[in-house]
Amino acid sequence: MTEADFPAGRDLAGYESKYDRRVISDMIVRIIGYVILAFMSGLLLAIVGFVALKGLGVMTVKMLTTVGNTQTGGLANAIAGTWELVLTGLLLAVPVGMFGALYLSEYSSRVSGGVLRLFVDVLTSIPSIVLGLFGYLVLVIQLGLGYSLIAGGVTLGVMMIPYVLRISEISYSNIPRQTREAAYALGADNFQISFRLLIPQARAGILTGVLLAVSIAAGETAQLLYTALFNNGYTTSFLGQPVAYLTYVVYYSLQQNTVYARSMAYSAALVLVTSIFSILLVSKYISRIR
Amino acid sequence: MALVPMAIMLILFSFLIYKAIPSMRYTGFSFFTSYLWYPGNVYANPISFHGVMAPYRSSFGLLSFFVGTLITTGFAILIAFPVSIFLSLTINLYTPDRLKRPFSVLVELFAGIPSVVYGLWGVIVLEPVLLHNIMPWMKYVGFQGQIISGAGIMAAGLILSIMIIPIVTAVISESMHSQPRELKEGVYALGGTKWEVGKHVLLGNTRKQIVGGTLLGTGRALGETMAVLMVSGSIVNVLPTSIFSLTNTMSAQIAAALDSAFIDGTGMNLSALVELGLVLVLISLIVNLAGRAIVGRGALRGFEND
Amino acid sequence: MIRMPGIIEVRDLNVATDRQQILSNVHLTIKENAVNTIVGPSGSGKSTLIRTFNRLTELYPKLRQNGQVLFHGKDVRDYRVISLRRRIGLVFQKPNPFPASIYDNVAFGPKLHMKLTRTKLDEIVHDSLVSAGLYDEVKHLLDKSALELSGGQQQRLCIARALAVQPEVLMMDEPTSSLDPIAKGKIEDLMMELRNQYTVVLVTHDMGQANRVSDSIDLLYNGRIVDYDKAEVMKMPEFEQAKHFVMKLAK
Repeated sequence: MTEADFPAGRDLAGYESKYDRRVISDMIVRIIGYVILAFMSGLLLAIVGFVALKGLGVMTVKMLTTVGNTQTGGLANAIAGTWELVLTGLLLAVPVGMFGALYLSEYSSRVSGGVLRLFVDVLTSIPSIVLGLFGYLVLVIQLGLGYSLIAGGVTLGVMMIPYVLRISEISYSNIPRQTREAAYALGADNFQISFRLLIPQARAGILTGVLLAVSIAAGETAQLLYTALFNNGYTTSFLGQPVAYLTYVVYYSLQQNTVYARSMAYSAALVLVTSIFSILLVSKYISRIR
Repeated sequence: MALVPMAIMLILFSFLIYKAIPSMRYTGFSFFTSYLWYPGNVYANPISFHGVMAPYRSSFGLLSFFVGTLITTGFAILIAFPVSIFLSLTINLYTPDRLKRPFSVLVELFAGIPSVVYGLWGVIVLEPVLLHNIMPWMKYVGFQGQIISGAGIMAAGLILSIMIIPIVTAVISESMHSQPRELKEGVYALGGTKWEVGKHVLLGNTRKQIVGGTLLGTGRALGETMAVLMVSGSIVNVLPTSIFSLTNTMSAQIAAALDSAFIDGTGMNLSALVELGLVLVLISLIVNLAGRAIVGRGALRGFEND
Repeated sequence: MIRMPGIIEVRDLNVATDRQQILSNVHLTIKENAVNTIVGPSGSGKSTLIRTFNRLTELYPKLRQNGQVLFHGKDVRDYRVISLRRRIGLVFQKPNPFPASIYDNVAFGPKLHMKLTRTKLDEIVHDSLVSAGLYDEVKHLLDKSALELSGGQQQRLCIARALAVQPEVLMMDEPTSSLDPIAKGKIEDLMMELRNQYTVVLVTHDMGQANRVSDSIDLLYNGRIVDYDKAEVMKMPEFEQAKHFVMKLAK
């Protein structure tokens, strides 16, 4: 310690004594933090790298373009089915999310808003396999829809509602009050304000929510096991046919223990991760330029 | 439209309860105290008990799955909690601003990986590593028990921890980030080190949100199905005896046993799984709603509001 | 006249972000045991200037700095930062007590820097609160949350907190701008008392306050220290009073 480090003239003896220990603790925390940060980043890269290497190693054009049954053939039906299911889910989730959020943000009272929001929270808390069980009991059996695009898509849509709703609600509430007041002052009614003003202004936010929901839905499995089942071919109608989807191939083909089935699992994982990452990055980009 | 989530939830709960009634009558309280789960002989003549029909010699108790859920979730939290805290501190104290953006994108991508893909990685990469490299070494340093397979408590716990770390970190890091600048500078101005700012301001003032974030992570781990199904070893009727044991969870059991439950003409197997699902929902609901009440609204997977 | 070098000397200091120059060629001397006031309109770089003294500017990585700040003749960058910040205390514009008890607020700094017995700590807390002129008001409330105090009391608590680590220099960044006139008066009285024991650096845009408490005044305008007789500055209404004050000093 240099002389200048010693304070002059006051009763400060000992004031610098904890000094080294403190700097060392700071250093230790920093090092542990960096190590964990590096390790976790490395782990993500390892998992993504694993999917990329394994997937690219076995990926062929034929894999992407032919129909398969989880043991032979390709992924074309599973890829198509995944998007059919997600889009069917959106048919439920987008209107409910978009208009539900509009109501919550613009027209609900404290109590009604609180109760409705609580149920959205409850919905978010339901484990995906229980949603699947619900889809099976209610849609497949009770309503007699059978294993179908409707049953799988609606079950998936239920899970997507909170994502669309929450982010839409935030987007509506970010619209400045003055904008609404200006419109009311011009004599616009609630309907016009909702459809001409609020929804158009919030559309980037709604789109972000939709994309997030899509990215999650595309990776879900448990809701679909007993609602969509699987289909060795393409699904061409909402009812009467089960649906193939990619996550099932990853899960099921892996258990088959043949080299080809495994390569199907790897390819399906690669297609999934690539699509999901692309969607997430697009949604990031949209929320940035908003 | 805002009523739809409420309607769906009411239908869901009434159906689950309605469909679980036969199992409740058949198993009674032993559903919670027994660890034996036998589908019974579904081809033999069913028996009648307490006014409901069930397959011959069937028996349903959730204990082994409950314990498995508890252990794997506990294992995951044990790892995710300190890791998330250190990650949040590091991101808030020691990371240069220009790196924060890439890290937050990285965390979001992490959270976007489907659980079957985590499961795939768990089966192909993690299980062999555990079996050949980690477990023998653990045994060497004093862990008791028989090594059966790479699958089991450790694999499931580790995969779950990897899956919930982004959620827990996002909540904690966000609440640390929102600590007022004046408080942080107040500590710096008194001659505090970065770690002291972290300890007194970032950790000291965010205890509630740390608990809340951990609860949200716990909720996610409790309900997680596919990854656990793939790496847990899916054992039934056995309670774990060591850290190397195979295991099973409530959610994984529902997924695994549902298709064979369909062949049970009495419907009792299905009803028992529904009751299992009901218990799972209630636990998950309590944990998640508690977490959400603490953290506040907004956090879905934790990071959407940045 | 030979001027004694001050406890803090600023030499040719430049601070800038990528977009704008905040401080340009600043030369400044802070004299020991005096109230050294830096006045200037808001946005003139006053806060940035004093934050270079205790290197709090380092928390803003976008700021680029060259030139020297000397403390006891040695570049502040050659001190260990936690030691430097203990010796050069800072009171912020907005009172920023920690969400803890009054006692813990004052004891916070000393506990960081050294291991103390409870008795010694009690003594430091007592002395600091007395020095900050707050003791009589809070002596029965030491376990109460600091956030329950009024704004003026909170600011004096922050002064006590800064004094508790025995600094040599106490910097105050517009300490009264968020306070009512009575609370403001109390803190101004306090500054004049503190100069007997400490070197006070006051930053303010309130010329009246500068007139009342200062031993010396420097004008900072657009990041430059300007001479009092520079006509362009003196035309600005907020410096009318400064002119009179300078005239008075000159006599």
